[in-house]
Amino acid sequence: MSTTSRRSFLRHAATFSALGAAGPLGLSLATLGRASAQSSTGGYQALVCLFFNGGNDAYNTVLATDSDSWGHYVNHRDPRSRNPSDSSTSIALMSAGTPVDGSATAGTPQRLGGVLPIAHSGRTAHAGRQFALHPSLVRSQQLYGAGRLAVLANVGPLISPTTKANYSLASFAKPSKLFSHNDQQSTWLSFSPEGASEGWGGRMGDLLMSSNGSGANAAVVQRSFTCITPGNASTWLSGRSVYQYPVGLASIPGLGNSGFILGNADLYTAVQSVMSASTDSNLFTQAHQQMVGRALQASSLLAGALPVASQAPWGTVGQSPWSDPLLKYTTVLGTQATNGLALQLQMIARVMDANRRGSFGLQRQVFMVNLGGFDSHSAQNQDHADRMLQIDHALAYFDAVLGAMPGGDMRSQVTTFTASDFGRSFTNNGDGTDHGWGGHHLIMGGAVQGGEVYGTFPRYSTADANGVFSSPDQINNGVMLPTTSVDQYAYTLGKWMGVSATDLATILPNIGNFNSSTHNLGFMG
Amino acid sequence: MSRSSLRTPCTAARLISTGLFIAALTACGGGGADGTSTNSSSNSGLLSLFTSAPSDEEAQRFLLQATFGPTQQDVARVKAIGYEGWINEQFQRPLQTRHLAMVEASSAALNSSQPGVNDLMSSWWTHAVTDPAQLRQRVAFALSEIFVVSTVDAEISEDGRMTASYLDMLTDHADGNYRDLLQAVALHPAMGAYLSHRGNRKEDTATGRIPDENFAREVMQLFSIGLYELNDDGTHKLTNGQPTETYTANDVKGLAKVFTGWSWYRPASKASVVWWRCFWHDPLCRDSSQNVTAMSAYTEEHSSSEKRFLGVVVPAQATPDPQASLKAALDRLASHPNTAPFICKQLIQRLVTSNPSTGYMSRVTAAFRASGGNLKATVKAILLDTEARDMASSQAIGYGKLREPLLRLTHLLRALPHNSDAYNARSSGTTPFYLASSTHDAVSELGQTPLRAPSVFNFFRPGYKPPQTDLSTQGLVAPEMQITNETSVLGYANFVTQILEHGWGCYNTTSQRVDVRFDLSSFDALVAQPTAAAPQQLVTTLSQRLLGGPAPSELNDLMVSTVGKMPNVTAPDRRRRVEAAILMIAVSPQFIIQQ
Repeated sequence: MSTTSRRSFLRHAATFSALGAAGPLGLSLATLGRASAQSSTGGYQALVCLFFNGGNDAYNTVLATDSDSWGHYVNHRDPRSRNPSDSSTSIALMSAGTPVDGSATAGTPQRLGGVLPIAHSGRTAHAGRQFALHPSLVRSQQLYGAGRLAVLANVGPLISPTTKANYSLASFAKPSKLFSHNDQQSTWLSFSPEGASEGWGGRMGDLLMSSNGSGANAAVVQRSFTCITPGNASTWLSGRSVYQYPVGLASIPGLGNSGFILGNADLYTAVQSVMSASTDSNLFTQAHQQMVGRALQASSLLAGALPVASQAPWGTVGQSPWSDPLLKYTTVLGTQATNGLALQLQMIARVMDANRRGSFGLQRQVFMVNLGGFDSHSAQNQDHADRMLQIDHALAYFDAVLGAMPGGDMRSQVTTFTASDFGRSFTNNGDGTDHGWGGHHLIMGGAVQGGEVYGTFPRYSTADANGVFSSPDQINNGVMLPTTSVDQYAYTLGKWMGVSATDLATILPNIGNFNSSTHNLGFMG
Repeated sequence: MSRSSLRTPCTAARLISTGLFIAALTACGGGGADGTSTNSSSNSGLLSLFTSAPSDEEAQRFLLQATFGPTQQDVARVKAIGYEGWINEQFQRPLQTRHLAMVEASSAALNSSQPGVNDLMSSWWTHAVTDPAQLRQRVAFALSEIFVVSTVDAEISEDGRMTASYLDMLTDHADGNYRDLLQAVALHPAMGAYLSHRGNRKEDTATGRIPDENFAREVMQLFSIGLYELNDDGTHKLTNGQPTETYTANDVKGLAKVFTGWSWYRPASKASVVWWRCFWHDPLCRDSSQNVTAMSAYTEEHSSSEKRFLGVVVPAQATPDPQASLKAALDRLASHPNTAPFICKQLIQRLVTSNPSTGYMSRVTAAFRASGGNLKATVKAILLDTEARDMASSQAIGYGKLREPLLRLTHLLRALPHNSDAYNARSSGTTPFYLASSTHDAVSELGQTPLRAPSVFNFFRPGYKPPQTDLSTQGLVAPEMQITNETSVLGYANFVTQILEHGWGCYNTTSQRVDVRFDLSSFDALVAQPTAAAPQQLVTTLSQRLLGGPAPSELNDLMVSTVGKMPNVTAPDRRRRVEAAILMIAVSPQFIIQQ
C-alpha cells in the first residue's frame, strides 16, 4: 500500500471508529493491525463489475456545477425554472451547499440537500468546469477524496470516434439498436446486441485462466471459478473456455445433504446420474446435464472452502445475511433495508477468501453483480435517490471489507467499476427521464488513481424551440453522445488485469478504430 | 438443506384445516366435460394425420404443451374426443373463478387491508393447478410472458388486485383478437403504472418537457413488431445481408405523443370533479375501481401536434383526440407485417418448441393472418400442426424446449394428489384457494415466481442462446436456459425433495405445517409388499402418471435398482421409496425437457 493510500485508509477507518465501538463495518484494532502489515496475498487481482439495470441517470449521478452547465441543467430538469406555473415535477437536484430541508417529502431534491462537490485536476478538457456527486453519495465522495474512487465521464458503446455530424449520417457506423435496454446491455457487455454468447469479462477470463489453479482441481478452478456472479447470469462473464458460475446470493448449494438425499446415499448417487449422465442426444438435454455436471463439481469444491457469512469483516457474528446490520442501508424513506448490492459483494468477498482457505491458487478473477430499478421514466426523484443510497452504502461496505480481509488488505488487488444499459435524457418527461446513450461511471479500488474525473465531461446546452441542442455532446432529448468508448474502458481495466494489448485487440472489436494513445484512459495509472 | 424457505408464515390461524381431507384436487381439473367434439377435418389438411385416437403417450405430449400439466383425467378426455375436440371444449369452458375475486377472497380470509403479492401468487397457483379451463389459463400465462407486467414494481406489488385484473384481462382475451388484446394491454392500469404512460403529459416546448417514451418504445419492441423486419417464416428480411430495423428514435418520439393524456380511470361518480384531480389521482378523485379499470382519456393532456410513426401520420388535431390517435397507432401496430410472425413465434416457443421450423412458422403465421389475428385460431394452428403433433419429428436433436420451473411444479401438483389446508377449509359459496408462497430463490426454490419477472423483458428472452453449448453452436435458442444455471439446477432438485417431504406454500404457525402437502398414500400399496417386483411396479405406475408411459430403460432401470436398495421396513421407509421414485422422475431430462 502506498503511503498516501495507507494514510487515507487510516483516515477512513477513523471516520468509522468515531461512530461506535468497532465502527459500523467491524473494523477493530486487530484488523487495523493486519492492514498496516500490508497484504501478502501475492499477485491476485480481480475485477468486479457493478451493473445497473435499466439505464442509470448519469446526469443526476455526476453533475457539472459550473454556472453555465448548471443553468442548462436547471432549464431542462426543473420545468418551473422557465414556467413557474408548470405542474411537472422538478428532477433538478439542489446546488452544492443547499441545506437539507427536513420537512420536505422524502426523496425530493429539497430533502436530499445540495449536490456534493468533488475536485478535479483541471485538465484542459475540464477547464472552467466544476463537478459534484448526487447528494446521497456521501461515502463515495469520501472515497473520491481519499483517492480510491474515480469518475469516467460520458462513456458508451461506439464503433469509432463519433461527432454529432457523424451521428446524423445514416451511413456512419453506430452501435445497433441504440436506446433499447436489452440490446444496449448486451452491447456494453459483449459488443453486440441481444443474442451474444460471450462477453469481454469472460473473454478476459479465457486469457487469464491459465494462471489459476494447479493439480487435480485445475480444470474446475480455471473454467468455473475464474468468472463468478452472485447475481443474475449475463453474457459478460461467458467466455469460450470459462463458464460463468452463478452462485447463490448467500450460499453455494450442493445437491442433497452431504451425500445423502432423503437420508439415502444410493439415492444421492442415482439423482446425480439421472441429472447428468443421460445418453439422450437431445441438445436441450445435453445442455442441461452438462450444466448439472459442472454444478456438481464446482459446488462441492467451492462450498467446502466458503467461509461463513456471519463473521468479520464481511458480516456480523450471530446474524444471517438477511438480518445483518452491516448489509443494511438507510432507504430514502429513512428505514433500514438489506442492500442486495452489498449482499452480492459480501458473497464475492467470501469467495475471494475461499480461494485462500481452499488453496485454489486463483490469481485472476472476474466478478459481476447487478442492481435493478434504474429505468426512471417516472417517479425518478425518490427511486433514483434510493438507488444512489444503495450504491453508496455498497461501495463503502466493499471498500471496508476488502481493507480488512483475513489474508490482508485486498483493496489494491480488486478494482470495482460500474456499467449500465445507457445514460438517460437531459430532458424531463414530467417526473422522469428517457433512454439515452452515454453515461458517467465510477471506478473504485486501491489501484485506481482516484480523485479525478477522467474522459471528457459533456458540454451542456438548452434546446431551442425545435428541441435541438447546440452542444456537440448532446443529441435528441439532450442525450449524451459518448466521447469515450466501452472498448477503451475495457482496455484500461484489461491492461490492469494483465491482459496484453495484443490480446485485448482480439476481444475489443472496435479498439483499433481509436487512436492508440487514447486506449488507456489513465484511471489505473 | 435449509428448511427456512418453508417458513413463509400465514397470518390467519383460522385457515387451519379442520381435519377435513378431501380427495386429490386434481379431481377438480378434469373429466365431466360437456363440450362438443368437432370434426377435425374442417380446419386444415394437416389434421388428417391425426384423425385416429391419440395414444396415452401422444395425449400426454399434447397436454404438456396445452396445460399446466397432464392429469389422468385430461389424458382420458383427449383420447376420447381428440385434439381439436379438446381444444374447442376447453375454449368453451366457463372460467371457474376469476383472479380478482380470488385475491379479494384470499385477502379477506387473511384479514389484510387489501390484496397483495401473496394473494396474487395464491390465485395464480390455484388457477394453474385447479382451473378446468386449462388451455385458456395456459395461453394467458404465455401472454403474461409476452405482455409483461411485474410485481417487482413497487406500485404494482402494493395492490394485488391490479395484477389480478391484468391476468383476468389476458385470460379473457386468450381466444380473442390480437388487436383487442393490444388495446386492453395498452390501457390497463397495471401496464400504465408499469411502463409509466399513465399520467403521461403532452409535450411543452416552453419548458422543453417531452412525453414519456417508455410505453411507445416497448409496445413496438416487445408487444407487436419487434426490432427487425421479419418474413412470415420468422427469418429476418435482409438488405445487403443485414437485417432491417423496424423503427427509429423518431418513430418512438411520434408514438410517445399518442400515449399522452391517458390516466386514472374516471368513474361516472367523479364526473363533476375537475379533470386534473382525476388525471393526477388527487384524493378528491379516488375510487377503488381505478386499479382494475382501463385508463381514461384526458383531452387536456393529449398532444394535439402531428404524430408520425411507422409511416403513419396522425394530423394535428384542432381538438385533441386521444381515442383517434390511439386507434391509428394500434391499427398500425396490429396490421404491421411483422406482428403476425413476431407474436406467433413467441406463442410457439411458450407452448411447443424453442426453434420452430420455417414451415411451422409460416403455417401458424398464415392462420393468424387468415383469422384476422384471432388467438384461438392461432393456438389451434400451433397445437395441431404436424410439427407439434408428429412423434417422429419430436425426436430431432434440436426439437423441444426446457420447461420453465413454474411449469414443472404445476405439473407435479396437477399429477399427484395433495391437500391444501386453506383450500379444504373453504366454506360453501366462497372461492377456495391455496396459500402459495414465493418460489423466487434459485438456491432453494425455483428461481421463478409468477408475475415477478425482473423487467418487461420477461424472465428470459426469446433469442437467448446458452453459451458454450451445442445448441448455440447450431444457432438454436433456448429461452428458458436463461434462468437455468449451476445454482438453480441443484436448487430445483433440493426443492423437489423438500416439497415431497414437507409440502409447499405458506407456513401456518398454528398448525405448524405448510399449506400444500402431497398425499402419497395412494401409492403405499405399491411398496407395501417386500417382493422383488415391487420397485418396478412403483416405477411403472409413477412413470405412467408423470411421463405418460414407461420411462426409457436407462432411467427405468436406475430408478428400479435405486428404489430396491432403499430400506423397506417401516412406513416412513416405504414412503421415502415413493418420494425417491417421484424425485428421480422430476429431475430427469424426460420431465425437464419437453420434446
